[in-house]
Amino acid sequence: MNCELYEELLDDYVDGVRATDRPRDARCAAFEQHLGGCSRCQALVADLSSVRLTASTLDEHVPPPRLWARIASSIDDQQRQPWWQRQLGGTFSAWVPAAVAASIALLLLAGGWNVWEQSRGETPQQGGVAQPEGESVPAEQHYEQAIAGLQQLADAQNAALDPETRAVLTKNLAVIDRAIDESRAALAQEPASTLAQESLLDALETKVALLQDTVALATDTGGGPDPADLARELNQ
Amino acid sequence: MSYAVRVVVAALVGISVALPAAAQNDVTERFSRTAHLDQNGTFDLTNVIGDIAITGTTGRDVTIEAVKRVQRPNPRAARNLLAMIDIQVTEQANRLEVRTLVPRPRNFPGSVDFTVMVPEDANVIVKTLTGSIRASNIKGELRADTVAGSISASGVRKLAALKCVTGDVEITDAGAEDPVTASTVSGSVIVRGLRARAVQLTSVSGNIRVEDAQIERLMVKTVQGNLDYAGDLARSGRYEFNSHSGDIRLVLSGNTGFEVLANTFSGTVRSDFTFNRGRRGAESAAAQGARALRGAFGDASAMVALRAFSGNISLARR
Repeated sequence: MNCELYEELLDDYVDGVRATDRPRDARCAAFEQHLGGCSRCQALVADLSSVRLTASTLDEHVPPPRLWARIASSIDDQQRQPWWQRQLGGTFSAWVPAAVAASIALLLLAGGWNVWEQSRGETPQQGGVAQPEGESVPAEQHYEQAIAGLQQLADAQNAALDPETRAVLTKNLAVIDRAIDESRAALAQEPASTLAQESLLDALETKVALLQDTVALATDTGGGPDPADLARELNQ
Repeated sequence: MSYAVRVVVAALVGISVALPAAAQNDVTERFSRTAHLDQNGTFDLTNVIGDIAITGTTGRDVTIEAVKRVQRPNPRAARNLLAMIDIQVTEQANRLEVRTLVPRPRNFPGSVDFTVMVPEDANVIVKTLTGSIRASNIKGELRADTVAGSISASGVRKLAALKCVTGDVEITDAGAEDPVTASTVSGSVIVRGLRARAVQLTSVSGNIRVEDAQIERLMVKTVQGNLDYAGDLARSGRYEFNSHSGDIRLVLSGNTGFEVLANTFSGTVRSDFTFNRGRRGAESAAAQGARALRGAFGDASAMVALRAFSGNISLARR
């Protein structure tokens, strides 16, 4: 394996640049040939592509004017609070799910980087266990870890969603799970199938994205106090 | 049963069905505000429940018309609930923010429908939890987000991001300089007449259809839905279509040459085109009904990658 020779070309490849775009650069064609037979680089490309995709969908946040008013009022409130309450922060709990979801996304990014770092050397890092090629897909493991964490968050936050949206999300997660199962069955049948492997990673990536959306939605819609007067009015 | 008894039973059933509907008190209140935005200002609206229609127009005024609505059996309760709906408008630094505030967004039994006119060069950000969003004739950037509802954008010149969960996304006669994303979970994405450099369209279980678009880089992805592309390809364009179980159908017009790489794990690949060897020295085109096809048509300036797992792939001439 000479994965490290192609380090410089990886970013461009993930951005969509192909050997046909650079006919004078023989390394591009060599990398594509290498990629065809290297499961580690394939997994890495899939992983980085998913990170790129996720990054491209992040919203651009411009601080709204109301934020400054809230900051000013929050500073006033904090000054009136006892020191221990200031340390804990009153709004911390509302940000926990979003922060954890963001951490999971970071873990995914770090996982992708780690795979790339591991793929650069021919021998595994000290203390690491060599993974026989074709036996396991590192990217798959990263996705599974991310999915496990996000699923836990989504399950905990699910009650904040309205029943119809929850039903749609559950139904579509089942659609993705079916795609994951079918891809895994195909891989078991044909372990060398790049197509089955790509389908599996695609489905896992889609599941990560949908679970992230679920957590974000639940965080967005779940907040707010439930005033007693509203409950009274609703009962009439 | 005699005729008279049947008439009485039918009348009673009719009354019992009609009574609950009649018993609902529909209480509404109008909200109206005019504000000013300088050139390239930003209009940012966040609603909770209700439809939103935003139209770009000449002039520098923003006119916001809203109808608050609550339906409850008890008119006093309906009026009290209506009073809890607060629409706040904040102006600062060429940015106009509108927020609908209700005590319990997820369960609140009321809605606010907005009809907004903005200067056509304004950038528009619009979000709602439940309700549809219609945006038209906006030359600034548009970002729209709804959970339960559809999004329709027409005549938008700087489309940026459209996102919904349970509804459809429809884009008509629009354009963009920067990358565009449009996504839904269970709905369909329909694109007609979009001019853009890079576009990404995704759905989990819905169909995606692109017609007569001029897109240099297009990525279309779904798990269960079908993917359809009809129209010409851009020279040097790159097109990627991925579906797990849905079919991928391309109906191509024009004479743009392209290189194609099509694979399906358990479906079939069919093509009307006669392919040559690709520029990369690809093997010759596969036989009809095969699971893979690779080859070049014409000058092979565009690149088309089609991947399905169990879906079928077809390429046809328009």
